[in-house]
Amino acid sequence: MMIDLKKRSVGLLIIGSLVALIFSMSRCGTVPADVGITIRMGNQ
Amino acid sequence: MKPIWPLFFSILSSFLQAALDPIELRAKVSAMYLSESAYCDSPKTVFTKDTVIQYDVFGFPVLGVADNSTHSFDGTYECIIFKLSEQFQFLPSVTATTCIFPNRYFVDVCTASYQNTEIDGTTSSCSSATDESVYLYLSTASNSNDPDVALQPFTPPTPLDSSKGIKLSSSFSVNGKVGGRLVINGINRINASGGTCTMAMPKFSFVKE
Repeated sequence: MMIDLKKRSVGLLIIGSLVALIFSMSRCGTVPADVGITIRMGNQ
Repeated sequence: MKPIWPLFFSILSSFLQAALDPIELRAKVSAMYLSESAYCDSPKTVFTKDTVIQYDVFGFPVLGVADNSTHSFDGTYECIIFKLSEQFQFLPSVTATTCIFPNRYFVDVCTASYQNTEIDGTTSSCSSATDESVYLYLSTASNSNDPDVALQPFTPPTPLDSSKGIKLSSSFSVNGKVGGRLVINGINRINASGGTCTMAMPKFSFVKE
């Protein structure tokens, strides 16, 4: 019983870490850093 | 099993409370000026907008087109000035504590600790009371490009103080057709850990296109 609880705890920790990792990775690269407002000069 | 939950939530909340990114960031820019002086003296008006529109920078909007056929802007400029509203509207990319997606939030970036220098040289302190117009100075004489350190983006640099303004990485040369983009980078600038959803000063820069 003690071993089962430990296994479940470790399993939950791994799952929790994976959820957090996936969450953080999902934010990476989704927002471009060079967004802005363009100005054009000359006869374009 | 009981001791594992605090650890689990601790890991998860550390990610949830991290600084957030916007997926929509709206700014109101109403005028642009160029100065051959690195201290932004005697600026030329490139254009001004009678009707101020709120632009979402993620849509790469075109603010304006200056016609060189009627007024030549050919030259090399060390300072670029934008007149903009101090108020930005942002949409956080996710829900995290006080920031609720898809709610939009406003932030006044020019708080009382900032000075604002108008195009005619008049200076004043910002207040949090109203949606004020401010002038953003990007100059080759400035050495400030980190919004997390104390800086005065709404005041031009001086020979004695290069911490004012925003660093312009190189001169802006105009010879006929040219384009440029005022970059407003809000990545990791949304703060969801306080009592309200707010955003710190975005990182401004200018790139030639």
